[in-house]
Amino acid sequence: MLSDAALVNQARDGDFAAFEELFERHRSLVYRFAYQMAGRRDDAEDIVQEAFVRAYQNLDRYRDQAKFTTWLLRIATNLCTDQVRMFNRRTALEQQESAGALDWMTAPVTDDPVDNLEADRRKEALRRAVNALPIHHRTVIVLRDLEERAYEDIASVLGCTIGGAKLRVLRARRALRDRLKPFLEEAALRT
Amino acid sequence: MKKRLEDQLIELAFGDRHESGVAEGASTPEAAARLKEYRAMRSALGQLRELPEHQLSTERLREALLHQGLKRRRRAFPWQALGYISAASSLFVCAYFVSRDVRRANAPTPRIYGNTASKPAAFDANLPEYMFGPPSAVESPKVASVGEHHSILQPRAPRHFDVAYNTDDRPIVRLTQEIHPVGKSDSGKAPTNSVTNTRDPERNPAPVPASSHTASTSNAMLLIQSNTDADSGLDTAQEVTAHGDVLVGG
Repeated sequence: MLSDAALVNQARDGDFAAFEELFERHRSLVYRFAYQMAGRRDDAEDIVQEAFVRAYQNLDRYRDQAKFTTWLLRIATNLCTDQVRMFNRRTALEQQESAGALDWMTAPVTDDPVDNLEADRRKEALRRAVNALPIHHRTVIVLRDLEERAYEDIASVLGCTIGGAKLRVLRARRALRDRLKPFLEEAALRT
Repeated sequence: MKKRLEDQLIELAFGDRHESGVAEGASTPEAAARLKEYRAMRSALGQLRELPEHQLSTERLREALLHQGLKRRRRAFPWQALGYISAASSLFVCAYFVSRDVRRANAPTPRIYGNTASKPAAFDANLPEYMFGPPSAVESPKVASVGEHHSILQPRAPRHFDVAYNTDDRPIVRLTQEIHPVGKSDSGKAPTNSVTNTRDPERNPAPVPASSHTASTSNAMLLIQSNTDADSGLDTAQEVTAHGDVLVGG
């Protein structure tokens, strides 16, 4: 199996099948990140498509020092940031909704369909809380706590040092905790 | 709670730090409660990893690429732009110098009127290459200095004018050269019938035969007649005064 770098070189030479192979390999990774960032499937798919189109158009700018997936995630991060800025109004409305939804997250998970419905609502409320975070906090929460990327990759994606990436993750977690404070306190009391 | 302790609790809850690396303050009830909150948050975030299936396909990607243009864009780097700018500027400079040389080649060469036969070698070498403006002070001193040695400022060569009198009072012969009048030389000798340029005796020291000129002062004229002298075989001549009835010309 060819490495990403070899496929990139073939794609640079005009082999579109090599780029399709890269797309097959990494589309799920980029989709997961885009979905966590955008919160909607159609938006996430659009981001993935645009990310690969931009990657193909800028293959000459890719340097082999970084991993291809890191480079892709960096493109996707920029696209998500642009999308968040475009839909700032929608995000503000979701932020208001997430504040009232936190009450539902206190219900325990059971086998009862009604309780499961509550659990789904709770999860959706948590997603809204994450989406309500500022984009720089949301990015590091998704990269570290949802996608479980290494700090080295996060630093490459964000264009900062590893220490800087760790500091950003700490700040983002603190900000998320402040938003989830009512739920977390009650959940901590239950356990 | 101190910020440093809270950071350690966050790292402990999310698995970035071992329990042994946490400060002693973590054993307090407040710190323990905060640690539970962060662990609950991590657990809740784990539930968000479940995603709906995507519907991405290579066909969709191919259509998107075709829609935006299959040809990959090559972005011009800043150094490439600098290269274009430097190439354009160097081309402009070359064009300027070429046009300047062409103009210089087509420009009329300055002419020096005068005796150029004995022009020194340094004459051309000291000339300025090109003069865009009106003649400056550069040329004038050169011409002046050259004139000291050449014929530019030298007096003209002697000219002869043959003039005849048409009245009694006005001379019809006027010479730019001073002519020794016939029979009135300073030395008191006999008339020599010669014409001498007194301005530049070095240039024309040789005497000119009197027969080739009609020489006169204010009153005397020498008429050359058609009959010949029996002794010498030359044309005879008769000296008359201006007061005589002499008709000259047609």
